Parts: sequence; structure tokens; C-alpha cells
Amino acid sequence: MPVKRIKNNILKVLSLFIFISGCIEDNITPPLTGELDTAAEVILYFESKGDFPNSDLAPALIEAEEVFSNLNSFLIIDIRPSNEFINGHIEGAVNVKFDSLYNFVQTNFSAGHSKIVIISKNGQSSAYFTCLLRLAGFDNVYSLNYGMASWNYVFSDEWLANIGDAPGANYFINDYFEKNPLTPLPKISFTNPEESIEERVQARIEQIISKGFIEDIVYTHILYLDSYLVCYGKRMLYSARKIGPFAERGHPDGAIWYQDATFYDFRSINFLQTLPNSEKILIYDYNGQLAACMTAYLRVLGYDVQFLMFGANRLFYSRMIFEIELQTYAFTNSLINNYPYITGQ
Amino acid sequence: MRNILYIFSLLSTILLFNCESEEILNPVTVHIEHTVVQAEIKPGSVFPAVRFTKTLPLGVPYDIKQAELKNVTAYLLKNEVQVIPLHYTSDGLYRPLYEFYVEEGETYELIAERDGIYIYGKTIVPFKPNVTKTSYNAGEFYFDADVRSKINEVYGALWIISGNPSARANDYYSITSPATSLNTNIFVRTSSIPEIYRSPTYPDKKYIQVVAFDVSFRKYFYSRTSGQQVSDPYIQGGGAVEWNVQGDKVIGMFIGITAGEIIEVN
Repeated sequence: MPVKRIKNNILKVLSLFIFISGCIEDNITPPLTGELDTAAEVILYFESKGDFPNSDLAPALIEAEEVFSNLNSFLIIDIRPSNEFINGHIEGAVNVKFDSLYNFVQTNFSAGHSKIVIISKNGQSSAYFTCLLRLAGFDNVYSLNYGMASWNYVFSDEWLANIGDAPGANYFINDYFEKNPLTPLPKISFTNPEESIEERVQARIEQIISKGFIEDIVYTHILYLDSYLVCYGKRMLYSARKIGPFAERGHPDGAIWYQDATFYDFRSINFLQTLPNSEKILIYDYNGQLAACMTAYLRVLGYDVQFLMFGANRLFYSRMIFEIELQTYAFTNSLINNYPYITGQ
Repeated sequence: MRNILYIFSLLSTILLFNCESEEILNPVTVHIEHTVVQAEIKPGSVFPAVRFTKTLPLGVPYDIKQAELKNVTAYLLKNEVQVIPLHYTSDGLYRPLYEFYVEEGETYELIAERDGIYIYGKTIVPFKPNVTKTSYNAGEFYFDADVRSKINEVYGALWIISGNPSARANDYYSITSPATSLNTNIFVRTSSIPEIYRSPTYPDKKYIQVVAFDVSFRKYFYSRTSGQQVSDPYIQGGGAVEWNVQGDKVIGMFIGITAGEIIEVN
């Protein structure tokens, strides 16, 4: 009897096993999972909108003459501190603080103004904010070239005070320094990760704008020792001629050359990713305005960047006014206009 | 005996009914849409477009406007680090905004997302095949060659006949196994040339071209007829095609290909 019972039990267990195993699905490879690189998505988005920073549209400067001729049709946003605005501003200009700049432009973007002009004292912060606004999709925003300094002589004191040759300019060199090897893009996070890439980028830009303009860079010969120093411009900005008064005194020791137009070295297919993703980057250009724009772009991508205000005008002004190719970018009295301004609110 | 009958009847019942379900199949309703990825990456050329399309149900005539996908977020990862975005242009083709040239030995990864589905493909662009010897097999009428091996590459060969009209093999006879070591000789052969060209007195020249592929091509080559329409009702369609692009319901090839020199065979 016990043998029969054992047999019955075995039969029952076997039946149950067959029944259950028949319903078990084959082992299937788990589905592929992964996520897109956020910085890559941002670059993709900017490129899909025309890659403004790496095009001849950047840094979206507008001349004082054009602004003066269109005072009634342009929206003029003056972002200087209110005391400076009260002391003198363009008629019709609106004084807007950086922390409300994004919303103000967003509100007025489609209000029928043919152009929105951002104005700062020297054209440095306005170039920075203009590029951020352009990246956010406001494609009719411009920065007044050289800022209020080009509007009237009264406002040109800071520009004139900053032009000159830096200490150590006589020790600049022409040696070519190699770019870093390519490294991954910085890791960036969004405050609104569930939204579309356009909304994520806009929120990020709004956040960056709200932090204000932080360019407290004072040129010293020590500054660039702990930074990845980038010279952004044409070859003549980087290398001085072999002979002449500035023979082979092209750039500070260690500066690395990145070309602007027409090669645009910060394009994705070029050398963007040779910028270090975990080191401070310092960019200088001709007069600070293009570097301001590239700083805006690179900050959105997550790089730790600052730029040298007034650019090469502050590093080697003597060479800038000497070299024909650089003269265009040197701040001179001929750039200062005598357009009217008003005082008060 | 009673037990044996019991077991037999029990097993038969289970086999017949266990977990079976009946469904009336309708080609349109059972169609499971797949994302299709296509790209052939060749050195010395501008990086090509990557095509993203979807499969269409049976009976729906193929129309690229119906099949193309416009909502794919995609970029390349070149040499495991450099991000190069891809942008929709037309007909499901996604291209880099700026042209650039592909070089031998480069690695490209395709990273994409469509409606929340992650898509991934990887390929290494092969080096130009280094052919050390060619010959003609007069017995089986094919050309063959010895190629110096490279890691992560496989090889196929095509015959070419010059003349008027010229002729060219339309497929590979075989794809070699991946080499296990560098710079060993790998034998690769063509399919047999058509009968009209086999005569020793045939006047036109005969050539062989060896083509190098990313190693993943081999699995695709030997599985590609699987799942095709079966003309013989008594044979099985075979297993799945082994694509080198991964993702849920994603098929296709993202493959590096390098054609070698066209070499005359004597």
C-alpha cells in the first residue's frame, strides 16, 4: 500500500509540474534600456534651431546708428542698475533687472517690435544675456555693440579705462598649444525633466539668466594658470607676426586657440568636446562680446566658463591697433557717437 | 497498466489544452509595428544619413511618406566620446547638421529614442582589405583571395567582369568567420561566375573585389533569409534575422562597410 501511495503522489506531483511548466514562458532577454545624454539633447535642440552660437549671427550685435534710426519701432531694454539708468538712458528705453529679463522679453517677444535691443554699459553683459535669450528662441533680440559706450561719450569711461596692454604682454609667446583630447559632455540636469526639450532648455536658460552677470574677472598673470585658457578668434588674434614691434608675442603662455568663423571650433563635429568638463575655462576674444556669447552657450551646456571682459582690448591693445586685421575690433574714439540721451526714470 | 493509461490520457489532455488560446488572425490587426534603422557607413565618404522608418501592415503598399519617422531623437557617439546630433531632413533620413568624413577604424554608436523606446547600434568602420593573393578556381569557376586579418572585421568577395556589358556579382557567396588574431591570411571566395564567362578564351578581364564588414554583418548575412516569405509551404521560415540594432521592436543594420580595390584575377 505505501508503494501505491508513493506512486500516486509521484503522479500527482508530475502532473502538477507538467501543468505549471507548460505555462512558463521562455526566458526572454530583457528589453534594452537606456537614456539619452541630456547635454547631447541640448546640442541637438540648438542645432535644430540653426546653431546660433556657431553661426555668423552670433553674437547678434546691433550698431548704435541703427538703434537711433528706429527708436520708435525697437523695444529697447536697458539692463544697467537703476542709478545708472537714471543718470542717462536712450529715450524710450525700459529699465529691466536681470532677474525679470526673461519674463519681460517673453511677454514682449510677439508684441510687434521689429527688434528687441538689450543695452548694458559696455556691451559685455548685454551680449551675454542676448545670446542666452537667442538660445531660448527669442530670435529678434540684439545687443547694442559696445553698449552705451558707443551711444555717447558720457558713457564710455569704463571702456576707455580698460583698454591697454596687460602686465606681462611683453612676455606673450607664439607657441601653439594643443587642445585637450575629447572628453564627454558635462552632465546637466533639468528642473523639469518630464517636459519637452524646448521647455527644459528654456527653463534652464531662465535659471541661468536669473543668476545675473557674474564676470568678476580681473586680469592677472596668475589667473590662467588654473584655467583652461581659450583664445577664440582668428589666427591673428592668437599669433603675432614674426617680425615687427610685437614679434611673436601673440598670446599668454598656455593659451589654446579655437577658431571662430568660418570654422567654428565649438561646433559639435569640431572641437567642442576638447573643452574640459570639470575644469574652469577662461575665454578671451577681441572685445569680450563674442566671448560673452560663447560663455552663455557653454554654460547652458554645463561647462564652467568665464570670459575676459573687454577681451584683447585689455590684453594687447597696442597690437590690436597696429595690426590691420585686428583694428576692426579695437575700441577707439571713432566708435563713440554723440546720440542724445535723457535722464530720470 | 491502469496507471500508464492514466498518465497517457493526462499528458494528452495537458498537451492539447494547456495554455492554448485561439485567435482569429487578421493581417492588419496583428501587425506589430517595428522601427527600422538603416545606415551603411563607408570610409572616405561623408557620413551618410541614418534612415528611420516603420514597418507597414501586410497589404499596405510601401510608401516612404507612410513609413518614414519624423519624431526620432537621435545622435551619434563617435569613438565613444564625441556627440554628433542627427536631424530629420526628408523621407526618414536623419543627417548631421555639418558634413564630416568617415575614416577607417572609427567607432560609431547610434543612440536614439522614439516614443520612449531606446534604440542603440554600434559599428566599427573596417579598414580597407589588404589582399595578398588572388586566384581563379577553374573547377568551380569562382575567384578567391587571401586577406590579412583585422580584429572585428569579416570579409566577403564579389566577382566583376569587364566588357560590354560588364557584369558584377549581386551577392556574396559567404562571409568569413571573425579572425582570432591579427595579420593571418583569411580565405574568401566569390560565387561562381556565370557560364558565359567561364571559357578560357573569354576575352574580357576578370576581377575580384573583397569587401570588409563590421563583424556583426556575418550574423545578419546568415540569418537574413529567415522570416522571409516562404514559397515552399512545407518548409519553415527559420529563426529571427540577427540585426545589429537593438531596442524593443527595433530592427535594422547600422553597419560599417569598406570596399577593397578591384583586383584583376589571372
